Amino acid sequence: MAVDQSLIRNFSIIAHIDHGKSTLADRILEYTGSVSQREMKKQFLDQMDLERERGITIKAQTVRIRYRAKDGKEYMFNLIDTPGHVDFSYEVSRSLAACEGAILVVDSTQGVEAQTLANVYLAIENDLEIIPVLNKIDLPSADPDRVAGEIEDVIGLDASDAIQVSAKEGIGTEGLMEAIVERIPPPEGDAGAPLKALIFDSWYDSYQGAVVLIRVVEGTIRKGTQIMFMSNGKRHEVLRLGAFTPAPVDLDELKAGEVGFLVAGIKNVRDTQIGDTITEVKRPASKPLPGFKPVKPMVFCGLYPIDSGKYDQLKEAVEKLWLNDPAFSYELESSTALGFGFRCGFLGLLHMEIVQERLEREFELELITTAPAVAYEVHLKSGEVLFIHNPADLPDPAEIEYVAEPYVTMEIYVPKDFVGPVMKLCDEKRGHQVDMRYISPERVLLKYEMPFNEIVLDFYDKLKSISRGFASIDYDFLEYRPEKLVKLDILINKQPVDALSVIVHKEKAYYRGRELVSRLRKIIPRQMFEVVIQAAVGSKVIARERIPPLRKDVTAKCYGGDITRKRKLLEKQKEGKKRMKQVGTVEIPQEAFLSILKV
Amino acid sequence: MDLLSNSMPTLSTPVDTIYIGGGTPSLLSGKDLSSTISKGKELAARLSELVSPDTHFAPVKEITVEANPESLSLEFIDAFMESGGNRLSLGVQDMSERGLKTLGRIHSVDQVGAACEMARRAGVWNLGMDIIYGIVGQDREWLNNTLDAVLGLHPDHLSCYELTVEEGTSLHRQIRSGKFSQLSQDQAVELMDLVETKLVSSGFDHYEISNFSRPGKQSRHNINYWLAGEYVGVGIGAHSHIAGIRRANTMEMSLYFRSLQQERLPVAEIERLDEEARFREAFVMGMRLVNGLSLEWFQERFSVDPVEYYGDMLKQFAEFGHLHIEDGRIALTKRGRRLFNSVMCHFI
Repeated sequence: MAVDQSLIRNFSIIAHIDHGKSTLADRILEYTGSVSQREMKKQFLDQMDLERERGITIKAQTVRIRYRAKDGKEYMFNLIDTPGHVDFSYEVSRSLAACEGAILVVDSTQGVEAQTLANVYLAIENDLEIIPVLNKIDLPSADPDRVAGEIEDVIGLDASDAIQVSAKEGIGTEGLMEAIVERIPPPEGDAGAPLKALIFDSWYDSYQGAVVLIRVVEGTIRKGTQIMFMSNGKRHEVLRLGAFTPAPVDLDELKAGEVGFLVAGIKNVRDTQIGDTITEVKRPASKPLPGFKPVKPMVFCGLYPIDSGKYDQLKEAVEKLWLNDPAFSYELESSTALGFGFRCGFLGLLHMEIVQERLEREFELELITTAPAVAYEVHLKSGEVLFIHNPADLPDPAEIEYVAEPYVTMEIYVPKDFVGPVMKLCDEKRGHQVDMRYISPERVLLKYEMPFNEIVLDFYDKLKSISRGFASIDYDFLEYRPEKLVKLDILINKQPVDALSVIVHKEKAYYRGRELVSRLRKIIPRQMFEVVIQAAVGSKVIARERIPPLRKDVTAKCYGGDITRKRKLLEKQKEGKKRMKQVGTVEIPQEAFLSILKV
Repeated sequence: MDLLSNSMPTLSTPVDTIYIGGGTPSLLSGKDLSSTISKGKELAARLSELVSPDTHFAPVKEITVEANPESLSLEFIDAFMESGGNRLSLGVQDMSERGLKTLGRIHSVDQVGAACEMARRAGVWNLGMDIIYGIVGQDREWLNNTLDAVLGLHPDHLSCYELTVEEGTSLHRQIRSGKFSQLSQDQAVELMDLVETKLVSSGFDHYEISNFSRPGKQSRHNINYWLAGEYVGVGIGAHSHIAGIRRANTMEMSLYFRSLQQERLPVAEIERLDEEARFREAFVMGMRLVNGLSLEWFQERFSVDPVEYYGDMLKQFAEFGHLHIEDGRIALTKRGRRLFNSVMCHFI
């Protein structure tokens, strides 16, 4: 099915969560008859249960759609559905790079949100033609004029020809289809040039190996072509080519401008990095497509099985997931308190939650997750630079010249009434304000530079609660900045508990130490001996609490009729001890650990 | 009786104590009490005979009946003495009106005095009393007064229990609703210390966690429980321990009588432990005794040396000061007794 390049339209849909992206995609599929009524289910493109439940998109999907326009010609649309969360902004940028246009969906009852804006900027950076769409116009609270104004003021896009739709009711779909034809430019690129194809997503299929989503930018790729990944030089033969319609359809070739998938017997999905360029071994391109960045985990945490006997199962699950998710990293970690587990790296908090949920759900594991942390840059006096994402790995302070932590630039959109409390929160979180402006009489944009660690800790939950859910944020990695950072240790009867160590800013160490120690005092039950809990930075103790010893634990009466019951009680007490985590002679209930780790 | 002696395994030792308790036996008429005791004796004789034919003349050494002060009558006590009873366990609980009221008792302090008087006159050989301490609001002075008053009645035996608030009782509800506050651990320990010091200095022998006696007046019947001995329980909800098997009779009256009519034992629960579990249970139960148990006893009973069996754990708790092994005996220290459950759950 050779297609004239001028009849191809490649586009994505950009929207804030709940603004109607997936519903609009459903309508387009329905309108063009790509999916029959019978096959249609809500959020068709979100294939994972998790995506449907949470109303989010995690993996990119593509659909090739045939559309006969009013001009009588049959067009080929490639809709590229992208993830919409800050954790995946690099993935989004690569998906957008595969398009010539984007549909910007804004909820006409709400307005422009931070995430929308971030993705629109990505689209503008990639020179995409943007079609503003005002959704949910069927709702009584819709205010399309105000929202159009916001699009003009905030984004600087001409919204005079914005298309008004109701994706739910199917209003305005045809107008949108025609606009795609008229306003989004067809792809360019020479089908005869050396091959350059952009990878914008991939996943692991147990029968075929890696399935790679590509956009051919230059040249032509065929079944049997010997291809090479330009970032790592790995070579493979194309075994299968095709496109999703949404059912996979095999094709013999994909030419410049087309979007599709390829299978090449690639065993490791990590070889197919998002943003990498595929070229032909025989006639390689001179240089790769711009914008490639290797993925780098930003957030780390320890994952442990609640039942330490399930370690092998966790190991297997983590390895399987690693195969399928190049953004996820792991290494073995052991903790005196929690046993054997893994230190895992993620793109962000949502990614972390998703992985944790998939492990629990798909592999039926119960997990303990330690507090999320960022990676620190440790500059040693020897000149060596280490990346540390586990407080336990921090070298002796005497060897350290300085420690730098990652900073992000953060944009917060918030109704003006909440500006005060939000600014106060940002101050508490060591943020430096760089900008503040009114984007409309009602809404304010705040710009901060802030340590990423503070965001990872609990910033988002706090922000949501003080702004009653009205604030939206977006952030982007800025740089590593030297800060006065120290390792805060928690000692129980003088023994450090590795799982509870954290890296904190020196000025916050005292506060954090006090808080941790007093919470531990409340949740560790009295023991047969005195328990002393201390928080310490290096050898300096900054907080201390004492749990007096248990003085009495005895059943007064025990005669003939009580013996069985009392024995069972003691057996239960003994069982309970098995589930305790032992630190020296101190027994700490697992629940206590969990509640501390979930700061 | 036929049912018991025919369908239960044979006891390993003759029966030498009878205990009538649970509920309020002092509500029985003299006649009913006499017939209960004589039936008890008859059962004891028949069961003992099965152990070995020449033991049926061995007399039952201790016959106890429980009584509440408000219902103890002269008729009852006379019937008891005439039937060969020699030990009376009186539910005194406290010697203040306030305490009795809090505990939901219907007798008065004066009735306690009168009941003791009656028992003494009738010539009861071993007069025991149950005391409860740790009553909501109780302080040292209150408990001290109660103990003084109790000692003034010259008991031979005292069981002193710390109040345990059982779920579902009205006291439990009141504590939960905040009307009463429960004693703190430190307060409770203080009271426990007071009981022990006071009774021991008044010449009582502290022989079990909650039990004290004048020399030679320990409860023979109860010691049997802590020595993992055998016993046969008769009545609704009664427990038996015979040939390593623990049985509990049904708690339902209709079911109980229906079983008996159909000549079946009214047993609702049966528990059979293996030899090792029995040894561990015996070890834990024996540690309730203040003097503990001798290594010889374990050797004889189970052919196990606990020092060898428990190994390092036993040594560790000895080092901690929770128990000691001296002169061939293992016993808990005072500290160990206070933490009985926390220590013994390692040994069960």
